[in-house]
Amino acid sequence: MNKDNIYSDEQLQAFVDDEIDISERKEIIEAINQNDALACRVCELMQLKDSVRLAYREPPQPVNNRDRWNASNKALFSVQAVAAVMLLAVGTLIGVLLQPQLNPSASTAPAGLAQIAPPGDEYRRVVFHISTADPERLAQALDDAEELLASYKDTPEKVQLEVVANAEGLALLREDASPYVERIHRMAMLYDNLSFLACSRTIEKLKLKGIEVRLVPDAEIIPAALEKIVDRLHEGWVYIRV
Amino acid sequence: MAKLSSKAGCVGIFSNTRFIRNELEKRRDLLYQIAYSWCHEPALADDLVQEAMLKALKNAKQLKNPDAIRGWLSKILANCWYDYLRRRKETVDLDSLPYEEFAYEKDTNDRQDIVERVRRSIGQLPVRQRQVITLVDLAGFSYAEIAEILDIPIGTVMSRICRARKALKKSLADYDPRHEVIRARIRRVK
Repeated sequence: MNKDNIYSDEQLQAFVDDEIDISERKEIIEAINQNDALACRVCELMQLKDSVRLAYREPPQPVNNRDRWNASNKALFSVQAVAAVMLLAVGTLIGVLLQPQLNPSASTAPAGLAQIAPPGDEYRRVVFHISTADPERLAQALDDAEELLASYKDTPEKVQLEVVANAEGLALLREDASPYVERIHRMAMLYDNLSFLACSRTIEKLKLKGIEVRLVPDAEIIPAALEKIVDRLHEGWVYIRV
Repeated sequence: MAKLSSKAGCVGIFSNTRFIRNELEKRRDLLYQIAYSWCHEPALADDLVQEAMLKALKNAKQLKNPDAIRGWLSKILANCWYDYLRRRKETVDLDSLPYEEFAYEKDTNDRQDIVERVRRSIGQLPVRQRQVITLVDLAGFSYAEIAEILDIPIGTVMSRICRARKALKKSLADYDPRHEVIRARIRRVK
């Protein structure tokens, strides 16, 4: 049986949408780490999700939409305000007459109102996923990363970029194999909002094949690339596969 | 889980209305994003959101659980969208309504942009698939929440998502969005 097909499209959709339980999720992550074709299917789904988010992040706005809402809101509010004032007057009168019977806790705001989540931060968070050793594509990925970081450097908006390398893409972060050791070091020195992350599972696989991996000094080791990416997606990061 | 007190009578209704008004202010952008992803017309999306917001305020007392407001608002928005489609075409089949029936105001040159490509691909999906994929990917609703919002079985939600993503993948198959993503960001910053 083709290992790529052990999971149906529906199962993988549920995986990327975080609709499966923890044990099945772990099982799929394990399978992804063992099977590049399966990883590709999952990455494609993640990319689709991210494309949809990107497509509607800044939809075109109609003219004066806020004004329309404010006007209708104010109109509705004014009707309610008049009603509220009348209610308050009646309530006060009843309150004066029936003061001993009132429950002091009746005017307390519902607990749920105090639990509104604060707005999110202003960071643009992006994860580059590198799973290819093609030098041209690696160079292009670094170009893109630099371009992205540079474009946000002197703006009020901030960007955080993680470059996650696994499978063949680990070559980017291998001191003994990467054509871009110096460039990676320079970028890491220049941008403290940039991280290079190497997949521990890929390193272990290479060890089993007798390849001793030495990473560039600026790379951090993470337990599993795909797991990291899935977590980042669920946290709302933009996913870009190289 | 917090509950708004229905025993508070009129005071409860006004608290609920105030709460909903505050929530609408915060969630308006998301509602607009969802509405726009369904209809791809800014003015229509705005109308749908306006209508949904007013209906939400008028029916404030129906919201018993403030934690469920996101789904509740989306359900109202979906009903406004259905109402619009019904008014537009009394006998329309929502599963077959194509994107091309909607006005598309962008210049031909802009269609090379990834955002337009994805929007167009989404727009080519049948209305019901379009709704489900945007509710999952854009609004981050769970399958169960979408089943509740659209009043369909969860299995139908899953099959529609699957079909929608297959169609979207096919539509975008020959396209690598990586460089466009970068360009879109840089363009926005400039």
